[in-house]
Amino acid sequence: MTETQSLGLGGKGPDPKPRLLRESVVIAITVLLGGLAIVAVAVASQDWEIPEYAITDENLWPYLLLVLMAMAAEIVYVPIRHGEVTEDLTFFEVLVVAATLLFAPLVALVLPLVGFIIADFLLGRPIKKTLFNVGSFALATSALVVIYGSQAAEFERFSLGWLLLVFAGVTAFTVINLFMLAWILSVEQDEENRSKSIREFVRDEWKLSFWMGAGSAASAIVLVILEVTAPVLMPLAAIPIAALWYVYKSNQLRLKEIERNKSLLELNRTLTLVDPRTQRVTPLNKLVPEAAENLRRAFLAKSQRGEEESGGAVVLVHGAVYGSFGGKDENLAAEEEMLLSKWRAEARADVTELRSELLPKRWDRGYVVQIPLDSDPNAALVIGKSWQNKGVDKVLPWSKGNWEIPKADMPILASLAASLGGAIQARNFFDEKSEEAGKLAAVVDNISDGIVLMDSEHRIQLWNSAMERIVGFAEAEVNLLDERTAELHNQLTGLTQDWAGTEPDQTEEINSYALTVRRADGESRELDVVVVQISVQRIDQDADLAYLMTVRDITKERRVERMKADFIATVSHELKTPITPIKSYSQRLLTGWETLPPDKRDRMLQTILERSDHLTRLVNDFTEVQEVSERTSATLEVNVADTSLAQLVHDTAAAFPGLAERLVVKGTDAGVRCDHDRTVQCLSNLIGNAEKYSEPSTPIKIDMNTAGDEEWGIIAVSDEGRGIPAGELDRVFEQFYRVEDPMTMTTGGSGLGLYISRVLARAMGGDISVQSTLGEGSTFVLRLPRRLEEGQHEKAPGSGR
Amino acid sequence: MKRLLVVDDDSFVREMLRDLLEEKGYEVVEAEDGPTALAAVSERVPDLVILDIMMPGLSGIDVLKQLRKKYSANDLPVILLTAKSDDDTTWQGWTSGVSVFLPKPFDNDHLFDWVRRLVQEGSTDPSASASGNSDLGGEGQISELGALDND
Repeated sequence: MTETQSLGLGGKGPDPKPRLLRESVVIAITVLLGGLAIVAVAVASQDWEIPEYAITDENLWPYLLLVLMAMAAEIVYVPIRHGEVTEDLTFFEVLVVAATLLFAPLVALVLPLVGFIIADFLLGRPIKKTLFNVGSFALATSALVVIYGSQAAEFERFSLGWLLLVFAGVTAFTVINLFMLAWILSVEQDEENRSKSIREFVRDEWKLSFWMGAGSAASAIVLVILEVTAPVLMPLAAIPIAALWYVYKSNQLRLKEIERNKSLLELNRTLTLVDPRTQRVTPLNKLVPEAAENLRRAFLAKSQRGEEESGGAVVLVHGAVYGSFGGKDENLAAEEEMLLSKWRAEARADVTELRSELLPKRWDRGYVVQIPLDSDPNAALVIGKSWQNKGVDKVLPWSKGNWEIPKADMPILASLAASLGGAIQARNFFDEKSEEAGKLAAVVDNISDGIVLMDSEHRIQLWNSAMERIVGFAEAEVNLLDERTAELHNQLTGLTQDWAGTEPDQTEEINSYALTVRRADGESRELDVVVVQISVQRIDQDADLAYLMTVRDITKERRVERMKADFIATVSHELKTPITPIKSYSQRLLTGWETLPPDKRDRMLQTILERSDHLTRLVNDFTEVQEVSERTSATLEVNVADTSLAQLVHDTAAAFPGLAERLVVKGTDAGVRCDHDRTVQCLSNLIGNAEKYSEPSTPIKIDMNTAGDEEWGIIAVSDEGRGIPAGELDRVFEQFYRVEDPMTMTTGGSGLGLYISRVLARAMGGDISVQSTLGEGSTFVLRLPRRLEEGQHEKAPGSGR
Repeated sequence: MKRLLVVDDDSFVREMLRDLLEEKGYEVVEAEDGPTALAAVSERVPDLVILDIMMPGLSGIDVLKQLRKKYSANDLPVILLTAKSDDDTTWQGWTSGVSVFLPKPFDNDHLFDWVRRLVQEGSTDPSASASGNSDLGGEGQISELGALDND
């Protein structure tokens, strides 16, 4: 006789509601069918001829005995697990068959069910399970009773026909019971990857059910024969019942073994660093609960009928597993504390130290790590250490207050503990390395210098994003070695030649190289490359030599350096030229003052004076560059005041009396707000440039306007000179930049005027821009903030462009 | 009277050279840039050219190269005035056939000395330039090369 007993873990499925609903429907149908069957038997049995041997006693005790025996048969059981669901094998079927053979049909149907209900009530089983089982049994027993009861009178007791009739009835019972069981189990057991269809249940279980049916029938018949022929021998009926019990037991072990193997296989999968199914690393906070759950499944402790199974696994992890091989106790304690806090944080585990009276024998210390498992709130791992002071690891199944460990399970548990310990250690190690690698990767990717790692065969192993930015090629492109990147690769490879033939670690040399490379976009970049030879550990290989290159783009610095060198050469030239007449005239005046006519002396002295003034202006210009170079536009001091475009142009033009005929001033005046002197300085510069770069016969136009803009006042200075090549337009405002080659320097400028002017203009909230056509002339546009009217927002100097 | 051509874009320098050299009895002709100088030479070849390097349009080096196409160092000695004395400029000067470099600002006596020698001898004398001035000693030796190149 089999009946269902759910573990009641509930809620494990993704959506438990349909399952509950389906379960309720199945139970309701079963109860309804069972009830109908009872009514049908009650009605039909009135017409049946009751065999004379049937017990129809006037006394109550045979009926009482039947109920009591039904209770006993139900209480003695062997649980068989089907994953989450347990099937209980009982002797109820034996009793039902015996009752059918001995009592009137309705009695044989109803009284065992009464005993069953009482037993379930006493055991405190859930009502829905009792309901299902009662309904299922009522249906199955009805079939048995109908087949046997309706025909029993036709056959002589113990004749062959009678025996066949009994077996036909029992077969009907078994088939109906098996089907009902398969139905409810398939509904209850819908956990992912573990669900079985009704057909699969029947296929797996029919043999067991058949032999149970046959055994039950045989036992019942033997019981009846003994009762009829030799009641004194009735205890011998225990022998076939015992045999049946043994079948139950061995079947229980077989199924338990299957379940355990399944769970252990699952556990093994959990313990591997990379999950073979998902190809992902199982994190520690998943590993621990999953391992606990698998251990719980594999070594589930015996549960009391009706109680929900609670339990877990006890893991004894010796400190040695965590790397302190025979180390000091302090190390172990620190190790242990670290692990526990990690589990508290990562596995959301509730860690409590075990009270000493709960510790298994010879334990120094133990922890209960309560891991919130959805399936079972009581499942737990227990971590302890020091098992007889040996480095032996133990995993023990654990259920509430039960520390008994089956001896047969000890070897497999010990090896599991070692595996689990190893897996935890591997996971910890992996986490540490991942974190480390993550940090390093972040540094390598965000550092401003390019980093290249080249192996001994000159393959690029690492090429960070800064490197990609500097040269414009990605790592994959460089390793392709196509015509675009072959040269760059060769250049980098060339830098490693200095180490050719050296052994790893033999040299600690750090070499720095200057390299000029061509970017992906064709632009030339100057690089400073520092090369170090290092030794890199490779997977499955010996350490390999590699070259670590730190690459800095110094193109800009180099350009500034060159410009500064040019500047110094220029300064030197600019200063020496006016000094030449000063020196020569002074010498002449000193060596023969009297021999010179007075007018000539005066002219010489006049020249000396003029050239000295020129020198002073030059020196001022250089000093000013020094000043604006050190400050930004925002901090440069300007004295902003109200003035007008016309005023500024007038005051600037006054400083160029020689240009009066060339200057063409037009446009409309507008009030602007700026530093008058600084602005005149800017304009002087623009006009001076126009003069320098154009023929004396051409006009220099000064156009004032507001360009329809409320915000800006504009002064445009245009010349009809040589113009500026389009490619150099952006650079004219750079420090030290000059349009012409310093070798053929014609203008005597310092290359600083426009730079200074733009810095000043921006400091006043304005700007200078340029348009130019080569050979036709250039137009420099000075833009200044308009003078503020009443109530207008004050524009802070330096904030606008 | 020996005729000198002074080429410099800086009018102050030109005027100063005229003042000094006329006093010494030379005839001084001025040119403010390269093309003017070349035109002046083709009109009438002077005895000596004093040539500034940094000038608008044609640089002094360019003018020198043009001159050396027609006149050897013996025919027409050239003094290059320079305010810029980097290696590249010096090298270009020597390979182009300069007679003497005179860095700005110069000592009047050095100017007079070189002008006198070059005008009187009509050619570059290596021994004279080597002993003439210690500053110019090194350059004087290279001047031999320049002279040989152009011979």
